[in-house]
Amino acid sequence: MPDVPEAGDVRNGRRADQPALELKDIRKYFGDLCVLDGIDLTIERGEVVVIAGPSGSGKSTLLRGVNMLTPPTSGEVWFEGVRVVEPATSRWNPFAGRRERRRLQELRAHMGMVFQHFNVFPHLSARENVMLGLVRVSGLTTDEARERADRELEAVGLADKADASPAVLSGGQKQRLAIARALALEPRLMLFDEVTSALDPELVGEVLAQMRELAAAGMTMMVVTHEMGFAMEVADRFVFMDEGNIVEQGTPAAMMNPQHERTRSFLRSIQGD
Amino acid sequence: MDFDFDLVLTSLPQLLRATRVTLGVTAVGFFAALVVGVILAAGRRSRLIPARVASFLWVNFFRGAALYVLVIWLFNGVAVATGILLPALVVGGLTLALLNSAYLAEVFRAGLDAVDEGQYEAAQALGLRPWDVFRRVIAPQASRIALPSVGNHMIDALKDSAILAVIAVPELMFTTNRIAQSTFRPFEMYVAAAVIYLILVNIIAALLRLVESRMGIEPTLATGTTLR
Amino acid sequence: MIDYRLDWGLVTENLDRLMAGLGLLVVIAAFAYAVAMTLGLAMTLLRASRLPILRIPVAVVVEVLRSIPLFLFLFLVYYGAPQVSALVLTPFVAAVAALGLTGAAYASEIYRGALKGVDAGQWEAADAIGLSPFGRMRYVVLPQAFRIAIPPALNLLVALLKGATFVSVIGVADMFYVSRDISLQYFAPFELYTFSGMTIIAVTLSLAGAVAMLERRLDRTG
Repeated sequence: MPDVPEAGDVRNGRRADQPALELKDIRKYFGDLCVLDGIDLTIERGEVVVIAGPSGSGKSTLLRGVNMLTPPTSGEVWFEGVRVVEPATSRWNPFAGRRERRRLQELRAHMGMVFQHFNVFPHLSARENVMLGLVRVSGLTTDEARERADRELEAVGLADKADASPAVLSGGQKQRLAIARALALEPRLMLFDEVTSALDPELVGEVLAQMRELAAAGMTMMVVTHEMGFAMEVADRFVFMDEGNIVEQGTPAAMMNPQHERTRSFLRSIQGD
Repeated sequence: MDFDFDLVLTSLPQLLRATRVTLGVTAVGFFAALVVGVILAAGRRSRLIPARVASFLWVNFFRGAALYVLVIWLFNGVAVATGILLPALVVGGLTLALLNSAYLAEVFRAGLDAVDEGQYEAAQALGLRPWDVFRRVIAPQASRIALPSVGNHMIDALKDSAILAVIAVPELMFTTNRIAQSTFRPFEMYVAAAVIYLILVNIIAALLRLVESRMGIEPTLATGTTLR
Repeated sequence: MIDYRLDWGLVTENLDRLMAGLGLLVVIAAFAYAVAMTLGLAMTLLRASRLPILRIPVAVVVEVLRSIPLFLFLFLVYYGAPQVSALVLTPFVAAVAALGLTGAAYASEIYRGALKGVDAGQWEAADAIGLSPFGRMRYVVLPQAFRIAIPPALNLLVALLKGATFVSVIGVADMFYVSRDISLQYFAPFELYTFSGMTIIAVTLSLAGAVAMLERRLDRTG
């Protein structure tokens, strides 16, 4: 049994010497299909890592493995020196994995995630979307949460939409709301899963601007995207994946001249769109 | 054909008192069914095998049962065999609750299934506890989807309650029977009762539309789910 | 309290009477179903009529039949009809009539829903290839509407069977009438009602299960 610190260590800011995220030999199988074939990746604090690759390369599965939305079949995920464990489940024992589940919840609160299809809560107003985590996870009072939520909405330029239902927001506005919802919990790692892929082209810019701002503020970010312009400008490191493997990685500048043919042909193919 | 309006008018106070019993037993039975239905729907989606099997058996048994059969069996058969003699009103409410819990469980299950998977993911990614995921994110959306069906099942339950006359629950149908037999004017009495049921069904339907429009859902026309 | 001893022998001894009673229930449901599907179709056609004098009364009747309890309607037909007309119905005929008429109201909704369920583009496409109104109905709309109508139409049969369970209240000698009769004689209500109840639940569940299976198959192939 390795040294597995309590989740409390993360909250208390101990283990500051550890990298933000360490993925060790991550493998994922869907039945016989191998989606991740032993991925090792370390992300330092404050680093912005962009992951690209053709669809089916496993990049989204890797990202979703970090907070166990899609738990890897094997391998280890370490967040700031704390092991992220998939809670055990049992078909018979309702209490199985109870402690691990609590710890995973606590860890997830420190990792914000933004999705391709926004996944904003349609039954809540914009403000309530942001308030939910503040009240139910961070334990703020309703008044504190409201104040905090309004600040977060203002930061993403949605101050005037606080009372609006997500139904009346544009795709770009929904995605900025999703970013505000995640940032409100003061995460120390942000996961972006193709967050501009479902947007109309003219709305992509506003979301990318938000992400640029976040990167400039020093946020640790793991970004799955096809937006190469954004990647070249903002990424500290560029990771290219194909068929469940990391084919190559390096600084954006280095990736202008990729070593591998697969990377070259992928980059050529997306210049097209 | 002569229609004896005076008889209807003079029996109206009795009919209205009985209508209160109809509404009361329907409301209590249906409310209990809502609570049990939610638990059953959760049970069917649970990863725990005992919970799944138990709710599957419960739902399918009571979906197959007809109210008349169940109420007669409970009131005559089970009561006599066990010696537990419950008042007719209690057995009536219980029967309505048992049957409707099964129907509502299916309604809620469909509602839960209709909530987008991404909503679970977003809620979990925020670090919400499973209860909060359900209570704050999934249940509000599922209940909006389920609302029109719940309204229709409520109308079914109201119509079903007429059958409780066979165990002498003093509700509208039972009282109508009694007056019809003693006055030898069944036609007037059953027509009067029919009009009252018609009004009640339309009141529930109107309330449903009101709630729907409050919740910003497309209002539906409800007259129950199927023949009852 | 009397000590209640279970005596399942009463069920086996009277099995033939009980089964005959079950048969009667099935026959009533089947007759009522035939009435419902035929009359329901007529109601649908009348409601589609351009003449308000045809359309409105039928719509009102359908609405009323769907809003009042079948249990009440059965009493209205059996006891009410002889009072206001020369119609004296046997319990059997009254049961078929009440179930059939109420069923027709629901059947008419099923037909209507099925016709509405055929995409408007299909009607337009049929017109576009120059089909006559009859050809449009016969070759394009009805085959699709039929498919939509199958599951709810079969579920109506299940509902009619469930509805038929209480016809003994007007004196039809069905399974539950027989059960009551025997248990009054020998005081064995638990055994008899348990048997009859389980039997009818088994019948409705297998029928409902078959409909659900068919529905899944139609979904898959559709």
